[in-house]
Amino acid sequence: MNEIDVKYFISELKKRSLYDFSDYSYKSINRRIVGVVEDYKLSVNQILKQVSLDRTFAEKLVSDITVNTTSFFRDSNVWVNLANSVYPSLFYNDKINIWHAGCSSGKEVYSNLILLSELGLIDKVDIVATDISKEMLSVAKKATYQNFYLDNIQKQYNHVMDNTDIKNYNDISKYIDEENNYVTIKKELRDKVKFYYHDLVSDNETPFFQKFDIIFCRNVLIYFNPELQNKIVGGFLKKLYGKGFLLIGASEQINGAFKTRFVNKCGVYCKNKQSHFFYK
Amino acid sequence: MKTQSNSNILTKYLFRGVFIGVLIWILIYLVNLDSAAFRDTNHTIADMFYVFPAMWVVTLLPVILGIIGYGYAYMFVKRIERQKKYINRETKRSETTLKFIDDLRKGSYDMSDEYFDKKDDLTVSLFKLRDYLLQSKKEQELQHIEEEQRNWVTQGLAQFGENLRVNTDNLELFSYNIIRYLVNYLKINQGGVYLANEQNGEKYFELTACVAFDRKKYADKKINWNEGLIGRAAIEKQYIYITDIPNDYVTITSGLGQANPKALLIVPLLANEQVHGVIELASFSEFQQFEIDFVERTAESLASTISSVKINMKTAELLKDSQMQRERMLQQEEELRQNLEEMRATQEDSDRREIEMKGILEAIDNSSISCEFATDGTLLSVNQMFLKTFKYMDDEIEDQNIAIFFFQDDVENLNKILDNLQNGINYKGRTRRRTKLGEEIYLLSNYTPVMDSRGNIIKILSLEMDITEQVKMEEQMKKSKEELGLLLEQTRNEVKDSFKEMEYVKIRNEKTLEGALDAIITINELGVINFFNLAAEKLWGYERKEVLGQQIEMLFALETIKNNDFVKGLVTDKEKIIVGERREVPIKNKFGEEIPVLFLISDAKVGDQHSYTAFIQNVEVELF
Repeated sequence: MNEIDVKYFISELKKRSLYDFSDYSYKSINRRIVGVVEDYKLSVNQILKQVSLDRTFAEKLVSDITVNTTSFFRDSNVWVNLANSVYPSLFYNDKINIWHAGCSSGKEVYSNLILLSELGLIDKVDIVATDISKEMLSVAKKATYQNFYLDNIQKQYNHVMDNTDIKNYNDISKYIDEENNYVTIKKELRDKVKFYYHDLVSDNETPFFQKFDIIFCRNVLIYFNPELQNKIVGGFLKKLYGKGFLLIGASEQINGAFKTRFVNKCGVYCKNKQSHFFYK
Repeated sequence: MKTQSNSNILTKYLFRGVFIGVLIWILIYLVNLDSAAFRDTNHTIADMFYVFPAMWVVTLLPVILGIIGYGYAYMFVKRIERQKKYINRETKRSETTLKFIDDLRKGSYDMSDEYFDKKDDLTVSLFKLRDYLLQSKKEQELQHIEEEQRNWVTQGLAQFGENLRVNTDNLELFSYNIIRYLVNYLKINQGGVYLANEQNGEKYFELTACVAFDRKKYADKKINWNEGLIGRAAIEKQYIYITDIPNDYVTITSGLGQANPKALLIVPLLANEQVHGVIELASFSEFQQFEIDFVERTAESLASTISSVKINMKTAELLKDSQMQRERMLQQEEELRQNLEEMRATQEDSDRREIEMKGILEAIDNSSISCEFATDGTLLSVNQMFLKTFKYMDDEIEDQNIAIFFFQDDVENLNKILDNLQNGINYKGRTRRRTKLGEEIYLLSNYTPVMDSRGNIIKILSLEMDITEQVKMEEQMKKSKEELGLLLEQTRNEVKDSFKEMEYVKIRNEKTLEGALDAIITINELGVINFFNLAAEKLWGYERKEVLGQQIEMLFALETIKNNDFVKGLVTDKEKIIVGERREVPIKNKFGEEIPVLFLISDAKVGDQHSYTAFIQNVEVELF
């Protein structure tokens, strides 16, 4: 597939399925689409035809094109930081609204819920999670994962908890059921999350109206071009309360027009109430 | 009758002898009579006896023959009697024999030796027969029992085989079924299966199933490989049968109480000389040998089944493992691909940022004086702007301390800044610097410590801007400002004096107006009342404070404002105010009464501002 094909593919896909990849980082989306088309062993036109005929095929295609890498308590520093400084600042809130934008298979959402439960904030939180792939959303709702050594929840959880200020934390088994190499998140946690389909790229309104104290959008922006990154960060800014937090990936940064609207505190961006540059 | 017949025979034979003797006598007599010799002589009968003396014998013959006959008969009778007696005896014996046989047939074998009066061959052989029959019966019975036991074993094994075939995928359930079956079939009280297990290289037996064991006590019971009777049975590969059980070894517990079993049978599960476990059975009654054999045989087939089950389980596990492995590999591959993608995307993102960063750095390089130095002040690198500013050549400043760019008396300050920087505190401020030529320049400096990932300070980044001109200008301005200040003070005093004078004039004028008989009002261009004298207060009935700052229109009736040109000019902005003409107009006082007055308006212009003064005289003359 050459460049024209990929562009053609993206525009056709947008027409046929309302999935818009045109503002995705070109190199990345190019690699993904080329890879997926090769895997499917079908011609571009065959795939596009199938997309207009079969909705589930379209869902599958989208979940294959998008990158869904996630793991429990990924980047332990972020979680330690959340536990030690971000959540304590929200401790006296009556309600903590959290949005996981691009939740993928939900491991991050459940990691967060486990942490909140350990902090005793679980009853205050209102969590919504959105993703572009309906297939991934259904995985997230089911919350059953293969427990491979790559993904050793127990180890990662203990590692995070050992570094937080939380003393005498519960064993992870309080939150998950383990069976035949599969782990399932317990129902109490699953019921806490509202999953919605939402495409960050589209101009469609979010399927909820509240504002948030924390927005998670980790390792999502890297797939978009700078203009789109900017637009999405602007969208988050509108959805955040003053002093709200935006969590982005370890290797991501907020650049461009909205850079000055946030204060970077150890990788967690805090919304700046004033619009001028913040000097420490 | 017998005697009668005997005497008959005697009589018969007596008479038969006598008769034959008589017959023979007659015959001989007749023969003698007929003989020629006798007939020739004509002798008498008596002569005959003479001629034939034997005639005497013949005449005596009937007697002789009678005696002989009798005697013979007597002998015969005697013999018959003897025969009879014999026959009687024989009859009796055969009757006894028949009875004996009948008894045997009826199955009673307990006859004594006195059964027969006399011992002879027959009785001996009869007794032998009896003994033989007795023995064969016993043998038959024994055989029957053996047959039954064989049947029991066969049936048991068959049922056991049935049990072996079900539930072979779950060892626990399987062994429970087996032991339950064994306990039921043997009609004993308690049983348990210990299966051999291995963990961390340590062999042990685990009680996987039990029937009627005290559950609390025995659940999850583990026994080391060579511990106790179980271990012994496993090591010897031989069953152990104990009837003398130690008191505390095992008890059979029921709802009603507990008791020691009477017999204990421990059988190793042997297959291919390998011990797969041990069965332990306890009973209140002793085990029979065939039962032990049966248990041994079941143990054997149980062992081979367990061995094959284990192999099956292992195979299934391996299969599952390999499937899992495959799935895992696929998943991992996908994960790796995704991770790779993420890494690439991240890389690209940071590349993009790097380009941006490069631009920023270049801009900084072009616009600021920048240098990097170590925490002790040793220069690491400088940019062109730096060299240009300090008028040094690049090779001149190599390995120099930044102190050379400061004047001697500022070095102490610099050291303070360096100390702070070492503690991670950045510096931002103005510094006085020295160029190579000794010129004094001023820089706006920003020193920022650069840290590595572990928080150690590796260097200090300095960004500076030349503000010498600004500083000079500031100094200039400062000087001018001082001069200006003096001048300003002088002017201020002058203005103050003139203000005082003006105020005085104003008060004097106001006092004059105040004292006038005519009512006097001043308004500005917007029609707002500025001045309202005592006469005016009297005329309108308003107090001064009610009116000042208000619009002039409040002093006229609405009707008047509408119809009267003069008033209209005075009140509304659009119309021109008629100045210098005395007019008679009605005014409205506080109580709503209309009073006709004479109005004269004068216009005073100060700069661009107009101020209008109205002089009002009451037309009505009070009568007194």
